Amino acid sequence: MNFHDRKVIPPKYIYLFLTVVCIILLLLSVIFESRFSALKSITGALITPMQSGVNAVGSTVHSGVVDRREKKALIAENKELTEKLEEYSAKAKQYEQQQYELKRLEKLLDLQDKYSDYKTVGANVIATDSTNWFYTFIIDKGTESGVKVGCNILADGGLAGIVTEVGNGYSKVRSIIDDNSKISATISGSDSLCTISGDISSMKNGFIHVNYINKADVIDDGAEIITSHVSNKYLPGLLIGYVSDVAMDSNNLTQSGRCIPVVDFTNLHEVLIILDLKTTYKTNTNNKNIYDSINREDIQVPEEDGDSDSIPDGSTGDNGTVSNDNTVPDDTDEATDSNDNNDSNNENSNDNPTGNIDEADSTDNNDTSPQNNENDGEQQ
Amino acid sequence: MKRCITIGIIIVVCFLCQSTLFQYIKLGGVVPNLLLIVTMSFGLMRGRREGLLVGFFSGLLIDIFFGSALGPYAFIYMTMGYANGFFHRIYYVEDVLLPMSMIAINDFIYNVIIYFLFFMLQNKLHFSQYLWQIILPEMIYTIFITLFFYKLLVRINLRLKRVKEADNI
Repeated sequence: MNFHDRKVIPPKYIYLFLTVVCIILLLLSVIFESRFSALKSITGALITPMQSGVNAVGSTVHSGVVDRREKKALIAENKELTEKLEEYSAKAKQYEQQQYELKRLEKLLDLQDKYSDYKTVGANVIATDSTNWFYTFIIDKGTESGVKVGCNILADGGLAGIVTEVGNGYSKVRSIIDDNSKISATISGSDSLCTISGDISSMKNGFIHVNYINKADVIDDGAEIITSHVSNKYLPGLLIGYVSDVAMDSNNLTQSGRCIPVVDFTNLHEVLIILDLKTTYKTNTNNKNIYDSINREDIQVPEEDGDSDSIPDGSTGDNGTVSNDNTVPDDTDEATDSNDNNDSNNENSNDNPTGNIDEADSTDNNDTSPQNNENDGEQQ
Repeated sequence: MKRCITIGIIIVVCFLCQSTLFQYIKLGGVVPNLLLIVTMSFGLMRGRREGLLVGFFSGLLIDIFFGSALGPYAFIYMTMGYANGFFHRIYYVEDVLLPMSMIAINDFIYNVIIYFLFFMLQNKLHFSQYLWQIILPEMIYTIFITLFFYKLLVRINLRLKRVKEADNI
């Protein structure tokens, strides 16, 4: 069919019609998010095989070019490294013994090593966001491998992102450097809580931001930033990056600094998915917040509408936390939503030393709609 | 019908390239906006109607894959396609300057809109940083790619036209 043959409808009416379609789609997809995931998974199933195919071609050519260029350098490096290996294997044995001793002592202290036995699965990055403004990427493992929304993604030994959408054979990951990403973190050695917020423009210079550090804490440059125990999306103790340039905010209540991520986001090819989720509590659409869900499990309320099944775990509880923070007397969660992004906001910063900034706000809305963005600004 | 299928294939191929292949040949950390080139070209070559339809479907594809809500990108691309369609009357096949300047303006406006919608409203006000880090590099890279890619699209368009004429005869 040729568009020019149908002269009956002037283009401005088509334009108006499609504008209305866009607005309706926008509203519907925000309101019935779970229903629209079907549409996404259908197109996902069509496009992702092509993406991984094209990507395979691209990576082969690319690695071919790179291989030739780097071959000489690698040979020299190999020599150097084998020498080092000798040295390190001796050291490793030493550490092994220390490790053994540590385990023995941990057992004595009844501290089980919680983090070593996560179930993980490897995956390849097959596509990245086609706009230059956001950093989300698609990996080639999905529901069939047991990936769920909220799974943490590791790369290069550090936290790379979190799964925001899952389909059969693919899942979408929002990286920690994306502007919509906010992570509650701890700076090792100081027990101080802080927030890591992604920023794509500063990432071009190799860092993202650390905000809301307690002003009393003295932070050394190069201290490790790890995910905190208070987050309900990220597993505790995962390495995010290293802190530098901590300085007092203009409000004189909190400190901010730079976080240099350990993950090399320019060459992200293989990632590790942690299949265990942080949130283990049951969620129900009728629950107002996560506290309800915990209480209700004890009371055993009979299940209500089937609606609850279609909503991915974790999301409901978090939405509840956002919308209903006024009803929760708990101080920590109050802080989450009233914290403004703006560092210089005095009244909000009073809450910050509690540090529990709930990244759930940004985790659930992958904000592409203007409405969401407005809300986000208020919530965080 | 042939035109529909061809354009559909072009959109999908461009989307795939943009999200996979071009990630390997990033310059200054940005990828060129191929879908915007397609939208601009068809708006210019074929007028408002086709420009807005091509833009709508290109944007929808981005929405489905990389946005959580459907609609915003579809609307932005559609508007770009529609606006470009107004320049159809001063379009000549041989003209290179017009598409070049059009894509520069298009890409700039497109990125400013995105900054406004998704970043300024999130209280990220350092526009100059985004301008130098993202908007200008993308603009330059996109213009550069347009030099080659536009020619290809013009050829495809002429071919489609000829096929259509042959069918009519």
